[in-house]
Amino acid sequence: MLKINNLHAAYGGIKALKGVSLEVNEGEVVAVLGSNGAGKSTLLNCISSVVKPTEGSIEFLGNLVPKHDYDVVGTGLVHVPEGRQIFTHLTVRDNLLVGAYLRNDPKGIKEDLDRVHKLFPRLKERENQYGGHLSGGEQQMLAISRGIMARPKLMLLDEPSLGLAPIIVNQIFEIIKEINKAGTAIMIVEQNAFKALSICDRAYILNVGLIEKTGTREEILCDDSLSKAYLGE
Amino acid sequence: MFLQQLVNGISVGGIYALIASGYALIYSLLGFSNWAHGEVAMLGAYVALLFTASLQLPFIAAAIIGIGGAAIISFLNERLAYRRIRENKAPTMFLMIAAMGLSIVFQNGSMLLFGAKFQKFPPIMPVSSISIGSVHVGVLDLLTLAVAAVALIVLEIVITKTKFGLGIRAIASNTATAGLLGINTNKMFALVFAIAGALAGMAGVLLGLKYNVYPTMGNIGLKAFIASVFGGLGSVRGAIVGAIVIGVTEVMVSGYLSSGLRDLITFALLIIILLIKPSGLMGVSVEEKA
Repeated sequence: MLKINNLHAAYGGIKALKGVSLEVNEGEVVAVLGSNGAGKSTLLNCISSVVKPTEGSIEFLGNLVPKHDYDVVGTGLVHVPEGRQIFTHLTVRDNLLVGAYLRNDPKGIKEDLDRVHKLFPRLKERENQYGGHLSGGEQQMLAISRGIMARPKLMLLDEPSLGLAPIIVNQIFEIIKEINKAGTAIMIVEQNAFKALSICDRAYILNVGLIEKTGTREEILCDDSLSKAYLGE
Repeated sequence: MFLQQLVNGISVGGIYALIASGYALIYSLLGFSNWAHGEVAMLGAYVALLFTASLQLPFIAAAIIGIGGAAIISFLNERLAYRRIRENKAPTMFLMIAAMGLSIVFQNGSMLLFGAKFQKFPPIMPVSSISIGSVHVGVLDLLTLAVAAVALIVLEIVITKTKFGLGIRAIASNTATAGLLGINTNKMFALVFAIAGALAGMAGVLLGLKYNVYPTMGNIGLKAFIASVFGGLGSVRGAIVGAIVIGVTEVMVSGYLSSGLRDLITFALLIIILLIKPSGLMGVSVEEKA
């Protein structure tokens, strides 16, 4: 469903992506692994049109992704950004409703609210609190839930484990699996490679702007390019 | 006497609030002080004056045109000046400087176009005051009060209860993420500037009715600025409360002490509030957790 072909991107003069090609198919969980500065976030930012690529193409469901970031979510592709980026001055409920901003089906929105509350009961309890008053883990839950509210076909997750306690990370990855089972394809970008490999079908290893290795979960786990990408040669 | 002053004070506060609320809206979205906002009010007053005094239109029609004109001018400010600066990702300081520039251009432009003299709206009320028992209340004050109250209540409902308002609040909290979730931020900025401009235009017409229309009347924007700092920068509700406190204080000081002390007391009040509560009376201070 997502096809990226020869993608190049740069910040100022620095090239962050130097010809990345990858694919995500319906129903898959695909992980993009790599150390800090490998270009993982830039890749996601290109897909959601926050960063304009200098070369290459990104197709989603057969069409090029729209030019403006605000048109992307309407195509069925939602980006849950790094660092959670929740609306700290909005209540938890309003945060979720912003996730459904472009939708005009009150019944469906209500259903998805219930679904999110079932996945994360904490969010129901804290419905009327400000987003900024949640703990880090709750904020990550909120960010993912806000993404669910857009009813996406593909969800891009940027470092969902960042700065969270291991027990919370486990919980969040369980939920990611559940979201996938319910029919949403997932593309997850992670520094926490083993955690990501525990839930993905396939993985790509990104190293300074280039795909170094790709394969199924088992192939990547058995290959030494993963440790190389993180630890150097 | 006191009641009369109070009504007068609240109506002055209402005018400040109309400007301050738009001012706070813009600040909450873009994080800069729109110094040209008072001039938008002034231009709205001139447009209305032009249509009623020179073109002989009925006052209500002229006032609506003036309000619409102010909305368009405010929209154009954002479209032609501020948007370019935003898209170049320049520091917000640049926006503020551009706003100061616009303010000077508007003041001097209207000085050239309309002259520096004070102008008056033709009288619109058959009587200037009504008496309830021994209390005389200005009809214009009551009108101002009613118009400001209705406009601000509608604004409050739009911001807190509608989807459009949710979008505004989301952008104010995190612009980039609002865009990721499908909110067209440029369109929202344009609309907010138009709404803020319409409110300022309303204030300009009411102010012109109460006093006079002249090129530097937009300096009232400074009072609205103080009101919104007083209430908590970026908080629309705070700006309204701040504006009414300042309006009443000013009228009371002028009435009972001396009009020379008016601004002194206003600024002293501001300093005291900032010393006690630096985020302003109703400033939003949701600290972010890690």
